[in-house]
Amino acid sequence: MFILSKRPIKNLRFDNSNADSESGALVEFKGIVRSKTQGKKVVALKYEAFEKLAQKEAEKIIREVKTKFDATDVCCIHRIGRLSPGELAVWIAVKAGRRKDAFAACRYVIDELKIRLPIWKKEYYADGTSLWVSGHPSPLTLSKEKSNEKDFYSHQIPLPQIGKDGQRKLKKARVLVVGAGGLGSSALTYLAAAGIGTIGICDDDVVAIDNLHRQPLYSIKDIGQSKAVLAAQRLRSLNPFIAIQVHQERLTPANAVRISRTYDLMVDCTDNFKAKFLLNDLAVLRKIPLIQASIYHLEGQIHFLNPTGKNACLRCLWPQIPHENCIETCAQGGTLGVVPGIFGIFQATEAIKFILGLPGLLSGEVLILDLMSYTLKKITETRNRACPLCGERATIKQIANKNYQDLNAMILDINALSVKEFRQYKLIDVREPKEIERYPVKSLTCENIPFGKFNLKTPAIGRDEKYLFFCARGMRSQVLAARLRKEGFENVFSLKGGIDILNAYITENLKDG
Amino acid sequence: MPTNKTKKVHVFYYAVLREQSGLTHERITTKAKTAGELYAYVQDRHGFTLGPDILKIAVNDSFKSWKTILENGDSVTFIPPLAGG
Repeated sequence: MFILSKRPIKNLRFDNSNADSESGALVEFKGIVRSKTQGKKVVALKYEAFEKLAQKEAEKIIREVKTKFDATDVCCIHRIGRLSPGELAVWIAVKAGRRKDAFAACRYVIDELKIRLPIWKKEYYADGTSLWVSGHPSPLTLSKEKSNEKDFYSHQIPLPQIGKDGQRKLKKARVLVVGAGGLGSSALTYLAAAGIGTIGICDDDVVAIDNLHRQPLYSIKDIGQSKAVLAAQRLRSLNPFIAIQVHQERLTPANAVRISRTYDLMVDCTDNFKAKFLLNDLAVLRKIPLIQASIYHLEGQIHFLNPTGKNACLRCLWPQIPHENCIETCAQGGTLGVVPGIFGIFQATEAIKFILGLPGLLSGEVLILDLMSYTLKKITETRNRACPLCGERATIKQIANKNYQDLNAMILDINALSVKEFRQYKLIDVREPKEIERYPVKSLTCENIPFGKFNLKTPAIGRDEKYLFFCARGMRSQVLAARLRKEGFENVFSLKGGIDILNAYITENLKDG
Repeated sequence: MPTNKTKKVHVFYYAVLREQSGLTHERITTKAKTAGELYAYVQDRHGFTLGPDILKIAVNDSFKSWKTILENGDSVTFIPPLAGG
Protein backbone atom coordinates (compact mmCIF):
# COMPACT_ATOMS: atom_id res chain seq x y z
CA MET A 1 0.00 0.00 0.00
CA PHE A 2 1.30 3.46 -0.91
CA ILE A 3 -0.30 6.78 -0.06
CA LEU A 4 0.71 10.31 -1.01
CA SER A 5 -0.65 12.41 1.81
CA LYS A 6 -1.31 16.15 1.74
CA ARG A 7 -2.09 16.08 5.47
CA PRO A 8 0.29 15.34 8.34
CA ILE A 9 0.94 11.65 8.92
CA LYS A 10 -0.59 10.87 12.33
CA ASN A 11 -1.91 8.01 14.41
CA LEU A 12 0.16 5.40 12.64
CA ARG A 13 -0.66 1.87 13.45
CA PHE A 14 0.39 -1.10 11.45
CA ASP A 15 -2.67 -3.26 11.22
CA ASN A 16 -1.70 -6.44 12.96
CA SER A 17 -5.16 -7.93 13.13
CA ASN A 18 -4.47 -10.57 10.53
CA ALA A 19 -1.16 -11.36 12.20
CA ASP A 20 0.33 -14.56 10.96
CA SER A 21 3.06 -16.50 12.67
CA GLU A 22 4.98 -16.63 9.37
CA SER A 23 6.07 -12.99 9.69
CA GLY A 24 8.60 -12.80 12.48
CA ALA A 25 9.76 -9.24 11.94
CA LEU A 26 8.38 -5.77 11.44
CA VAL A 27 10.72 -2.91 10.60
CA GLU A 28 9.50 0.65 10.60
CA PHE A 29 11.23 3.72 9.17
CA LYS A 30 10.32 7.34 9.83
CA GLY A 31 11.88 10.12 7.80
CA ILE A 32 11.71 13.45 9.64
CA VAL A 33 12.27 16.97 8.33
CA ARG A 34 15.58 18.27 9.68
CA SER A 35 15.96 21.81 10.97
CA LYS A 36 19.45 22.15 9.53
CA THR A 37 21.07 21.07 6.30
CA GLN A 38 24.67 21.78 5.40
CA GLY A 39 24.91 24.42 8.08
CA LYS A 40 21.79 26.30 7.01
CA LYS A 41 18.74 26.60 9.20
CA VAL A 42 15.66 25.21 7.49
CA VAL A 43 12.32 26.74 8.37
CA ALA A 44 10.15 24.73 6.03
CA LEU A 45 10.16 22.52 3.01
CA LYS A 46 7.84 21.69 0.19
CA TYR A 47 7.36 18.38 -1.58
CA GLU A 48 5.87 18.45 -5.03
CA ALA A 49 4.93 15.24 -6.75
CA PHE A 50 3.94 14.02 -10.16
CA GLU A 51 1.25 12.09 -8.34
CA LYS A 52 0.04 9.56 -10.87
CA LEU A 53 3.54 8.45 -11.79
CA ALA A 54 4.74 8.49 -8.18
CA GLN A 55 1.87 6.22 -7.18
CA LYS A 56 2.62 3.81 -10.02
CA GLU A 57 6.34 3.70 -9.37
CA ALA A 58 5.89 3.26 -5.60
CA GLU A 59 3.55 0.34 -6.16
CA LYS A 60 6.18 -1.17 -8.40
CA ILE A 61 8.82 -0.78 -5.70
CA ILE A 62 6.51 -2.49 -3.22
CA ARG A 63 5.97 -5.38 -5.62
CA GLU A 64 9.75 -5.63 -6.05
CA VAL A 65 10.47 -5.93 -2.31
CA LYS A 66 7.81 -8.55 -1.95
CA THR A 67 9.58 -10.79 -4.43
CA LYS A 68 13.17 -9.78 -3.67
CA PHE A 69 13.05 -10.06 0.12
CA ASP A 70 9.99 -12.18 0.78
CA ALA A 71 8.34 -9.23 2.46
CA THR A 72 4.81 -10.22 3.44
CA ASP A 73 3.36 -6.75 3.90
CA VAL A 74 4.56 -3.26 2.97
CA CYS A 75 2.98 0.06 3.93
CA CYS A 76 4.28 3.44 2.90
CA ILE A 77 3.09 7.00 3.24
CA HIS A 78 4.90 9.96 1.68
CA ARG A 79 3.99 13.52 2.50
CA ILE A 80 3.51 16.23 -0.11
CA GLY A 81 2.92 19.92 0.42
CA ARG A 82 4.50 22.24 2.97
CA LEU A 83 6.17 20.72 6.03
CA SER A 84 7.90 22.14 9.10
CA PRO A 85 11.02 20.77 10.79
CA GLY A 86 10.23 17.83 13.02
CA GLU A 87 7.29 16.73 10.91
CA LEU A 88 7.09 13.25 9.50
CA ALA A 89 7.97 13.25 5.77
CA VAL A 90 7.82 9.55 5.06
CA TRP A 91 6.74 6.44 6.92
CA ILE A 92 7.53 2.89 5.87
CA ALA A 93 6.64 -0.35 7.58
CA VAL A 94 7.68 -3.75 6.30
CA LYS A 95 6.80 -7.21 7.56
CA ALA A 96 8.82 -10.25 6.61
CA GLY A 97 9.56 -13.77 7.73
CA ARG A 98 12.95 -12.96 9.16
CA ARG A 99 14.44 -9.75 10.56
CA LYS A 100 17.28 -9.75 8.03
CA ASP A 101 14.78 -9.53 5.18
CA ALA A 102 12.63 -6.99 6.97
CA PHE A 103 15.59 -4.64 7.49
CA ALA A 104 16.83 -5.09 3.94
CA ALA A 105 13.38 -4.60 2.46
CA CYS A 106 12.73 -1.45 4.47
CA ARG A 107 16.09 -0.06 3.41
CA TYR A 108 15.36 -0.93 -0.21
CA VAL A 109 12.00 0.86 -0.14
CA ILE A 110 13.39 4.15 1.21
CA ASP A 111 16.45 4.09 -1.08
CA GLU A 112 14.41 3.36 -4.18
CA LEU A 113 11.68 5.85 -3.26
CA LYS A 114 14.26 8.58 -2.99
CA ILE A 115 15.72 7.97 -6.41
CA ARG A 116 12.78 6.70 -8.41
CA LEU A 117 9.75 8.71 -7.34
CA PRO A 118 9.06 11.93 -9.21
CA ILE A 119 8.87 13.90 -5.96
CA TRP A 120 10.80 17.14 -5.65
CA LYS A 121 11.92 18.90 -2.51
CA LYS A 122 12.36 22.62 -1.99
CA GLU A 123 13.97 23.87 1.18
CA TYR A 124 13.18 27.26 2.70
CA TYR A 125 15.92 28.74 4.88
CA ALA A 126 15.90 31.13 7.84
CA ASP A 127 17.71 33.76 5.75
CA GLY A 128 14.75 33.96 3.40
CA THR A 129 16.31 32.03 0.55
CA SER A 130 15.09 28.74 -0.85
CA LEU A 131 16.47 25.99 -3.02
CA TRP A 132 15.33 22.93 -4.94
CA VAL A 133 17.48 20.27 -3.38
CA SER A 134 19.54 17.93 -5.50
CA GLY A 135 18.36 14.36 -5.62
CA HIS A 136 14.97 16.01 -5.81
CA PRO A 137 15.59 18.23 -8.82
CA SER A 138 13.37 21.11 -9.67
CA PRO A 139 10.36 20.07 -11.66
CA LEU A 140 10.87 23.15 -13.86
CA THR A 141 8.02 23.01 -16.28
CA LEU A 142 7.10 19.50 -15.26
CA SER A 143 3.98 19.26 -13.23
CA LYS A 144 1.00 17.12 -13.87
CA GLU A 145 -0.98 19.98 -15.40
CA LYS A 146 1.73 21.38 -17.60
CA SER A 147 3.33 18.30 -19.00
CA ASN A 148 2.38 15.11 -20.62
CA GLU A 149 4.23 12.43 -22.39
CA LYS A 150 3.09 13.46 -25.84
CA ASP A 151 4.58 16.92 -25.43
CA PHE A 152 7.91 15.44 -24.41
CA TYR A 153 8.32 13.87 -27.84
CA SER A 154 6.49 16.51 -29.85
CA HIS A 155 9.59 17.53 -31.79
CA GLN A 156 10.48 13.96 -32.57
CA ILE A 157 7.17 12.36 -33.54
CA PRO A 158 6.77 14.53 -36.70
CA LEU A 159 9.86 12.86 -38.20
CA PRO A 160 8.75 10.60 -41.03
CA GLN A 161 11.05 7.88 -39.64
CA ILE A 162 9.29 7.95 -36.26
CA GLY A 163 5.65 9.02 -36.09
CA LYS A 164 3.28 7.83 -33.37
CA ASP A 165 3.91 4.20 -34.23
CA GLY A 166 7.65 4.64 -33.98
CA GLN A 167 7.33 6.38 -30.64
CA ARG A 168 5.27 3.44 -29.39
CA LYS A 169 7.97 1.04 -30.60
CA LEU A 170 10.58 3.00 -28.68
CA LYS A 171 8.39 2.93 -25.58
CA LYS A 172 8.01 -0.82 -25.80
CA ALA A 173 11.72 -1.45 -26.26
CA ARG A 174 13.87 -2.84 -23.44
CA VAL A 175 17.55 -1.93 -23.80
CA LEU A 176 20.39 -2.99 -21.52
CA VAL A 177 23.39 -0.67 -21.43
CA VAL A 178 26.47 -2.33 -19.98
CA GLY A 179 28.98 0.21 -18.70
CA ALA A 180 27.99 3.68 -17.52
CA GLY A 181 31.33 5.33 -18.30
CA GLY A 182 32.42 7.37 -21.31
CA LEU A 183 30.40 5.60 -23.99
CA GLY A 184 27.57 4.98 -21.52
CA SER A 185 27.25 8.64 -20.50
CA SER A 186 26.16 9.72 -23.94
CA ALA A 187 24.45 6.50 -25.08
CA LEU A 188 22.26 6.45 -21.95
CA THR A 189 21.38 10.13 -22.16
CA TYR A 190 20.15 9.96 -25.73
CA LEU A 191 18.38 6.62 -25.33
CA ALA A 192 16.46 8.02 -22.36
CA ALA A 193 15.72 11.27 -24.14
CA ALA A 194 14.41 9.43 -27.19
CA GLY A 195 11.94 7.55 -24.99
CA ILE A 196 13.24 4.00 -24.83
CA GLY A 197 10.60 2.57 -22.49
CA THR A 198 12.86 0.45 -20.30
CA ILE A 199 16.57 1.03 -19.89
CA GLY A 200 18.81 -1.21 -17.79
CA ILE A 201 22.09 0.17 -16.47
CA CYS A 202 24.72 -2.38 -15.51
CA ASP A 203 27.84 -1.07 -13.78
CA ASP A 204 29.50 -1.75 -10.44
CA ASP A 205 31.88 1.18 -10.53
CA VAL A 206 31.82 4.40 -8.55
CA VAL A 207 32.56 7.89 -9.86
CA ALA A 208 36.19 9.03 -9.62
CA ILE A 209 37.50 12.52 -10.27
CA ASP A 210 39.43 11.39 -13.37
CA ASN A 211 36.22 10.04 -14.94
CA LEU A 212 34.47 13.37 -15.22
CA HIS A 213 36.27 14.73 -18.31
CA ARG A 214 34.66 11.99 -20.39
CA GLN A 215 31.62 11.07 -18.28
CA PRO A 216 29.61 14.28 -18.03
CA LEU A 217 26.59 12.38 -16.78
CA TYR A 218 28.13 12.85 -13.33
CA SER A 219 29.22 15.83 -11.24
CA ILE A 220 32.09 16.54 -8.92
CA LYS A 221 29.83 16.04 -5.91
CA ASP A 222 29.10 12.48 -7.08
CA ILE A 223 32.64 11.19 -6.46
CA GLY A 224 32.61 7.87 -4.66
CA GLN A 225 28.98 7.10 -5.46
CA SER A 226 27.58 4.33 -7.64
CA LYS A 227 27.50 5.20 -11.34
CA ALA A 228 24.50 2.99 -12.02
CA VAL A 229 22.44 4.60 -9.25
CA LEU A 230 23.46 8.14 -10.20
CA ALA A 231 22.86 7.55 -13.89
CA ALA A 232 19.39 6.19 -13.09
CA GLN A 233 18.65 9.27 -11.01
CA ARG A 234 19.81 11.60 -13.77
CA LEU A 235 17.86 9.80 -16.50
CA ARG A 236 14.68 9.68 -14.44
CA SER A 237 14.85 13.41 -13.92
CA LEU A 238 15.53 13.88 -17.64
CA ASN A 239 12.60 11.74 -18.71
CA PRO A 240 10.08 10.66 -16.07
CA PHE A 241 8.04 8.75 -18.63
CA ILE A 242 10.40 5.81 -18.90
CA ALA A 243 11.52 3.05 -16.53
CA ILE A 244 15.13 2.67 -15.50
CA GLN A 245 16.44 -0.54 -13.99
CA VAL A 246 19.64 -0.53 -11.99
CA HIS A 247 21.98 -3.51 -12.02
CA GLN A 248 24.65 -2.37 -9.61
CA GLU A 249 27.05 -5.17 -10.44
CA ARG A 250 29.82 -6.01 -12.86
CA LEU A 251 28.70 -8.22 -15.74
CA THR A 252 30.34 -11.62 -15.22
CA PRO A 253 29.93 -15.08 -16.74
CA ALA A 254 27.99 -15.96 -13.57
CA ASN A 255 25.35 -13.21 -13.75
CA ALA A 256 25.29 -12.32 -17.47
CA VAL A 257 22.41 -14.60 -18.43
CA ARG A 258 20.27 -13.47 -15.49
CA ILE A 259 20.89 -9.76 -16.06
CA SER A 260 20.28 -9.85 -19.81
CA ARG A 261 17.22 -12.09 -19.67
CA THR A 262 14.49 -9.46 -19.95
CA TYR A 263 16.10 -7.23 -22.57
CA ASP A 264 15.72 -7.28 -26.32
CA LEU A 265 18.79 -5.23 -27.23
CA MET A 266 22.18 -4.73 -25.57
CA VAL A 267 24.57 -1.80 -25.91
CA ASP A 268 28.20 -2.53 -25.07
CA CYS A 269 29.75 0.52 -23.42
CA THR A 270 32.46 -1.43 -21.59
CA ASP A 271 36.17 -0.75 -21.78
CA ASN A 272 37.87 -4.16 -21.71
CA PHE A 273 38.18 -7.19 -23.93
CA LYS A 274 36.84 -9.62 -21.36
CA ALA A 275 33.52 -7.79 -21.09
CA LYS A 276 33.31 -7.26 -24.84
CA PHE A 277 33.77 -10.96 -25.54
CA LEU A 278 31.33 -11.90 -22.80
CA LEU A 279 28.69 -9.65 -24.37
CA ASN A 280 29.48 -10.98 -27.82
CA ASP A 281 28.99 -14.55 -26.64
CA LEU A 282 25.83 -13.61 -24.78
CA ALA A 283 24.44 -12.01 -27.93
CA VAL A 284 25.08 -15.09 -30.05
CA LEU A 285 24.08 -17.75 -27.53
CA ARG A 286 21.00 -15.96 -26.14
CA LYS A 287 20.08 -14.36 -29.47
CA ILE A 288 20.05 -10.78 -28.19
CA PRO A 289 21.21 -8.15 -30.71
CA LEU A 290 24.25 -6.18 -29.60
CA ILE A 291 25.75 -2.82 -30.50
CA GLN A 292 29.45 -2.62 -29.69
CA ALA A 293 31.81 0.33 -29.74
CA SER A 294 35.41 0.82 -28.68
CA ILE A 295 37.66 3.82 -28.75
CA TYR A 296 41.36 4.50 -28.89
CA HIS A 297 42.76 8.00 -28.57
CA LEU A 298 40.94 9.99 -31.27
CA GLU A 299 39.38 7.11 -33.12
CA GLY A 300 36.85 4.41 -32.56
CA GLN A 301 34.95 1.50 -34.04
CA ILE A 302 31.32 0.54 -33.90
CA HIS A 303 29.47 -2.50 -35.16
CA PHE A 304 26.09 -4.13 -34.83
CA LEU A 305 25.73 -7.83 -34.21
CA ASN A 306 22.37 -9.30 -35.06
CA PRO A 307 22.59 -12.93 -33.99
CA THR A 308 19.60 -13.95 -36.07
CA GLY A 309 21.23 -12.57 -39.18
CA LYS A 310 24.31 -13.82 -40.95
CA ASN A 311 26.80 -11.23 -39.83
CA ALA A 312 30.09 -11.94 -38.15
CA CYS A 313 30.64 -11.92 -34.42
CA LEU A 314 33.72 -10.71 -32.57
CA ARG A 315 35.10 -14.24 -32.34
CA CYS A 316 34.85 -14.65 -36.13
CA LEU A 317 37.64 -12.09 -36.22
CA TRP A 318 39.39 -12.77 -32.91
CA PRO A 319 38.64 -16.34 -31.81
CA GLN A 320 40.54 -15.77 -28.56
CA ILE A 321 40.33 -12.77 -26.29
CA PRO A 322 43.35 -10.54 -27.02
CA HIS A 323 45.61 -9.76 -24.08
CA GLU A 324 44.10 -6.97 -22.08
CA ASN A 325 47.25 -4.85 -22.32
CA CYS A 326 48.17 -5.54 -25.94
CA ILE A 327 46.56 -2.16 -26.60
CA GLU A 328 46.71 0.44 -23.91
CA THR A 329 43.53 1.35 -22.03
CA CYS A 330 42.02 4.82 -21.65
CA ALA A 331 43.75 5.14 -18.31
CA GLN A 332 47.17 4.36 -19.77
CA GLY A 333 46.89 6.08 -23.12
CA GLY A 334 44.58 8.93 -22.30
CA THR A 335 41.49 9.90 -24.18
CA LEU A 336 39.54 13.01 -25.05
CA GLY A 337 36.00 13.06 -23.66
CA VAL A 338 34.39 13.86 -26.99
CA VAL A 339 35.57 10.57 -28.50
CA PRO A 340 33.55 8.17 -26.31
CA GLY A 341 30.82 10.84 -26.36
CA ILE A 342 30.52 10.67 -30.14
CA PHE A 343 30.70 6.89 -30.29
CA GLY A 344 28.13 6.54 -27.50
CA ILE A 345 25.79 8.71 -29.55
CA PHE A 346 26.47 6.51 -32.58
CA GLN A 347 25.44 3.54 -30.44
CA ALA A 348 22.23 5.25 -29.37
CA THR A 349 21.53 6.12 -33.03
CA GLU A 350 22.07 2.53 -34.05
CA ALA A 351 19.80 1.29 -31.25
CA ILE A 352 17.01 3.65 -32.26
CA LYS A 353 17.37 2.65 -35.92
CA PHE A 354 17.17 -1.02 -34.98
CA ILE A 355 14.09 -0.58 -32.79
CA LEU A 356 12.31 1.44 -35.46
CA GLY A 357 13.24 -1.07 -38.15
CA LEU A 358 15.05 1.56 -40.20
CA PRO A 359 17.52 0.58 -42.93
CA GLY A 360 21.23 1.25 -42.92
CA LEU A 361 22.24 -0.62 -39.79
CA LEU A 362 25.92 -1.45 -39.41
CA SER A 363 25.03 -5.07 -39.74
CA GLY A 364 27.90 -7.14 -41.11
CA GLU A 365 30.07 -4.06 -41.17
CA VAL A 366 32.39 -2.33 -38.80
CA LEU A 367 32.64 1.43 -39.02
CA ILE A 368 36.02 2.93 -38.17
CA LEU A 369 36.29 6.67 -37.75
CA ASP A 370 39.36 8.76 -37.04
CA LEU A 371 38.23 12.08 -35.61
CA MET A 372 41.56 13.76 -36.31
CA SER A 373 41.42 13.39 -40.08
CA TYR A 374 37.69 12.49 -40.29
CA THR A 375 38.73 9.43 -42.24
CA LEU A 376 35.85 7.01 -42.19
CA LYS A 377 35.92 3.42 -43.33
CA LYS A 378 33.23 0.77 -43.38
CA ILE A 379 34.71 -2.70 -43.54
CA THR A 380 32.61 -5.70 -44.44
CA GLU A 381 32.76 -8.58 -41.99
CA THR A 382 32.10 -12.07 -43.19
CA ARG A 383 31.21 -14.93 -40.95
CA ASN A 384 34.10 -17.26 -40.19
CA ARG A 385 33.13 -20.89 -40.63
CA ALA A 386 35.80 -21.87 -38.12
CA CYS A 387 34.50 -19.41 -35.49
CA PRO A 388 34.50 -21.13 -32.08
CA LEU A 389 31.18 -19.44 -31.25
CA CYS A 390 29.03 -19.20 -34.38
CA GLY A 391 30.97 -21.44 -36.79
CA GLU A 392 30.11 -24.89 -38.06
CA ARG A 393 31.89 -26.73 -35.28
CA ALA A 394 31.41 -24.29 -32.45
CA THR A 395 33.08 -25.19 -29.18
CA ILE A 396 31.64 -22.40 -27.06
CA LYS A 397 28.09 -23.48 -26.30
CA GLN A 398 27.41 -21.67 -23.07
CA ILE A 399 28.64 -18.79 -21.00
CA ALA A 400 31.36 -20.39 -18.86
CA ASN A 401 34.16 -18.84 -16.88
CA LYS A 402 36.90 -20.66 -18.76
CA ASN A 403 36.12 -18.70 -21.95
CA TYR A 404 37.06 -15.38 -20.33
CA GLN A 405 40.33 -16.16 -18.63
CA ASP A 406 42.62 -13.23 -18.28
CA LEU A 407 45.54 -14.42 -20.33
CA ASN A 408 47.85 -11.96 -18.62
CA ALA A 409 47.45 -13.75 -15.34
CA MET A 410 49.16 -16.84 -16.66
CA ILE A 411 52.29 -15.08 -17.90
CA LEU A 412 54.68 -15.18 -14.99
CA ASP A 413 57.58 -12.80 -14.52
CA ILE A 414 59.88 -14.82 -12.29
CA ASN A 415 62.00 -11.81 -11.47
CA ALA A 416 59.13 -10.67 -9.30
CA LEU A 417 59.25 -13.92 -7.29
CA SER A 418 61.17 -14.69 -4.13
CA VAL A 419 63.15 -17.93 -4.15
CA LYS A 420 60.57 -19.44 -1.83
CA GLU A 421 57.75 -18.50 -4.20
CA PHE A 422 59.72 -19.69 -7.21
CA ARG A 423 60.23 -23.09 -5.64
CA GLN A 424 56.47 -23.60 -5.38
CA TYR A 425 56.28 -24.09 -9.14
CA LYS A 426 57.05 -27.31 -10.89
CA LEU A 427 59.12 -26.44 -13.96
CA ILE A 428 58.36 -28.09 -17.28
CA ASP A 429 60.61 -27.56 -20.28
CA VAL A 430 58.50 -27.70 -23.46
CA ARG A 431 61.43 -27.34 -25.90
CA GLU A 432 62.64 -30.06 -28.24
CA PRO A 433 65.51 -32.29 -26.96
CA LYS A 434 67.91 -30.76 -29.51
CA GLU A 435 67.27 -27.24 -28.21
CA ILE A 436 67.82 -28.41 -24.65
CA GLU A 437 71.15 -29.92 -25.65
CA ARG A 438 72.25 -26.57 -27.05
CA TYR A 439 70.90 -24.40 -24.25
CA PRO A 440 70.53 -26.50 -21.13
CA VAL A 441 68.94 -25.25 -17.93
CA LYS A 442 71.58 -24.29 -15.41
CA SER A 443 71.94 -26.49 -12.33
CA LEU A 444 68.27 -27.51 -12.17
CA THR A 445 66.70 -30.69 -13.43
CA CYS A 446 63.37 -30.12 -15.12
CA GLU A 447 60.85 -32.43 -16.64
CA ASN A 448 60.80 -32.21 -20.44
CA ILE A 449 57.59 -32.56 -22.42
CA PRO A 450 58.20 -31.21 -25.95
CA PHE A 451 55.49 -28.83 -27.18
CA GLY A 452 54.55 -31.05 -30.09
CA LYS A 453 54.22 -34.13 -27.94
CA PHE A 454 52.05 -32.56 -25.28
CA ASN A 455 48.78 -34.43 -25.00
CA LEU A 456 46.08 -31.88 -24.26
CA LYS A 457 43.34 -34.45 -23.86
CA THR A 458 45.10 -36.29 -21.06
CA PRO A 459 47.92 -34.02 -19.89
CA ALA A 460 50.37 -35.63 -17.51
CA ILE A 461 49.90 -32.91 -14.91
CA GLY A 462 47.78 -32.58 -11.81
CA ARG A 463 45.19 -29.92 -11.08
CA ASP A 464 46.45 -28.98 -7.64
CA GLU A 465 50.13 -28.39 -8.19
CA LYS A 466 51.42 -25.18 -9.81
CA TYR A 467 53.21 -25.67 -13.11
CA LEU A 468 55.53 -23.25 -14.84
CA PHE A 469 56.14 -23.98 -18.52
CA PHE A 470 59.05 -22.50 -20.35
CA CYS A 471 60.55 -22.64 -23.84
CA ALA A 472 63.09 -20.60 -25.81
CA ARG A 473 61.29 -17.25 -25.62
CA GLY A 474 57.94 -17.84 -23.96
CA MET A 475 55.71 -18.27 -27.03
CA ARG A 476 55.16 -22.04 -27.06
CA SER A 477 54.82 -22.21 -23.30
CA GLN A 478 52.22 -19.46 -23.45
CA VAL A 479 50.16 -21.20 -26.11
CA LEU A 480 50.26 -24.38 -24.07
CA ALA A 481 49.32 -22.68 -20.82
CA ALA A 482 46.42 -20.92 -22.55
CA ARG A 483 45.11 -24.19 -23.97
CA LEU A 484 45.40 -25.96 -20.64
CA ARG A 485 43.60 -23.15 -18.87
CA LYS A 486 40.76 -23.54 -21.34
CA GLU A 487 40.63 -27.18 -20.26
CA GLY A 488 40.24 -26.05 -16.68
CA PHE A 489 43.82 -26.27 -15.43
CA GLU A 490 44.03 -23.00 -13.54
CA ASN A 491 47.47 -23.52 -12.01
CA VAL A 492 49.50 -23.47 -15.20
CA PHE A 493 51.78 -20.56 -16.03
CA SER A 494 54.13 -19.55 -18.79
CA LEU A 495 57.58 -18.22 -17.95
CA LYS A 496 57.94 -14.73 -19.41
CA GLY A 497 61.04 -14.41 -21.61
CA GLY A 498 61.89 -18.12 -21.72
CA ILE A 499 65.17 -19.93 -21.02
CA ASP A 500 67.45 -16.88 -20.88
CA ILE A 501 65.39 -15.30 -18.11
CA LEU A 502 65.26 -18.60 -16.26
CA ASN A 503 69.02 -19.14 -16.43
CA ALA A 504 69.68 -15.56 -15.35
CA TYR A 505 67.34 -16.04 -12.38
CA ILE A 506 69.09 -19.25 -11.41
CA THR A 507 72.53 -17.62 -11.60
CA GLU A 508 71.33 -14.68 -9.57
CA ASN A 509 69.28 -16.42 -6.91
CA LEU A 510 70.01 -20.12 -6.78
CA LYS A 511 73.78 -20.25 -6.95
CA ASP A 512 73.97 -22.80 -4.20
CA GLY A 513 71.49 -25.05 -5.95
CA MET B 1 46.02 -12.70 -61.91
CA PRO B 2 48.44 -13.11 -59.02
CA THR B 3 52.03 -12.50 -59.94
CA ASN B 4 55.34 -11.79 -58.31
CA LYS B 5 55.61 -8.56 -60.22
CA THR B 6 55.67 -5.28 -58.37
CA LYS B 7 52.30 -3.76 -57.64
CA LYS B 8 51.05 -0.55 -56.16
CA VAL B 9 48.87 -0.82 -53.07
CA HIS B 10 47.22 1.76 -50.84
CA VAL B 11 47.83 0.94 -47.18
CA PHE B 12 45.74 2.35 -44.28
CA TYR B 13 46.78 2.38 -40.62
CA TYR B 14 44.63 2.66 -37.52
CA ALA B 15 45.16 3.18 -33.80
CA VAL B 16 48.61 2.23 -32.55
CA LEU B 17 49.79 1.49 -36.10
CA ARG B 18 48.92 5.00 -37.17
CA GLU B 19 50.85 6.38 -34.23
CA GLN B 20 53.91 4.24 -34.74
CA SER B 21 54.11 4.97 -38.46
CA GLY B 22 52.99 8.57 -38.15
CA LEU B 23 50.78 7.97 -41.19
CA THR B 24 47.06 7.48 -41.72
CA HIS B 25 47.78 5.92 -45.12
CA GLU B 26 50.53 5.53 -47.68
CA ARG B 27 50.98 4.23 -51.21
CA ILE B 28 53.51 1.45 -51.48
CA THR B 29 55.13 -0.24 -54.43
CA THR B 30 55.82 -3.77 -53.36
CA LYS B 31 56.73 -7.25 -54.50
CA ALA B 32 54.79 -8.78 -51.60
CA LYS B 33 52.59 -11.58 -52.86
CA THR B 34 50.24 -11.88 -49.92
CA ALA B 35 48.79 -9.56 -47.31
CA GLY B 36 50.98 -11.31 -44.73
CA GLU B 37 54.14 -10.55 -46.70
CA LEU B 38 53.07 -6.94 -47.03
CA TYR B 39 52.61 -6.66 -43.27
CA ALA B 40 56.06 -8.15 -42.66
CA TYR B 41 57.44 -5.42 -44.93
CA VAL B 42 55.62 -2.50 -43.29
CA GLN B 43 56.23 -3.90 -39.81
CA ASP B 44 59.94 -3.82 -40.48
CA ARG B 45 59.77 -0.41 -42.13
CA HIS B 46 57.82 1.33 -39.33
CA GLY B 47 58.85 -0.80 -36.36
CA PHE B 48 55.30 -1.92 -35.51
CA THR B 49 55.22 -3.67 -32.16
CA LEU B 50 52.06 -5.68 -32.83
CA GLY B 51 52.41 -9.00 -34.57
CA PRO B 52 50.01 -10.29 -37.22
CA ASP B 53 48.50 -12.67 -34.65
CA ILE B 54 46.79 -9.76 -32.93
CA LEU B 55 45.85 -7.74 -36.03
CA LYS B 56 43.09 -8.07 -38.58
CA ILE B 57 43.46 -7.16 -42.17
CA ALA B 58 40.96 -5.85 -44.68
CA VAL B 59 41.56 -5.92 -48.43
CA ASN B 60 39.35 -3.56 -50.42
CA ASP B 61 37.30 -2.90 -47.29
CA SER B 62 36.46 -6.52 -46.48
CA PHE B 63 38.06 -8.56 -43.74
CA LYS B 64 40.37 -11.12 -45.34
CA SER B 65 42.98 -13.68 -44.32
CA TRP B 66 46.71 -13.06 -44.24
CA LYS B 67 47.11 -15.42 -47.18
CA THR B 68 45.04 -13.21 -49.46
CA ILE B 69 46.90 -12.61 -52.74
CA LEU B 70 47.36 -8.92 -53.43
CA GLU B 71 46.52 -7.31 -56.74
CA ASN B 72 47.71 -4.07 -58.24
CA GLY B 73 45.60 -1.20 -56.91
CA ASP B 74 44.31 -3.00 -53.81
CA SER B 75 43.61 -1.04 -50.67
CA VAL B 76 44.88 -2.76 -47.57
CA THR B 77 43.91 -1.82 -44.00
CA PHE B 78 45.54 -3.12 -40.85
CA ILE B 79 43.28 -3.05 -37.79
CA PRO B 80 44.24 -3.68 -34.15
CA PRO B 81 41.55 -4.72 -31.67
CA LEU B 82 40.23 -1.83 -29.54
CA ALA B 83 38.67 -2.04 -26.10
CA GLY B 84 38.49 1.52 -24.76
CA GLY B 85 35.23 2.98 -23.66
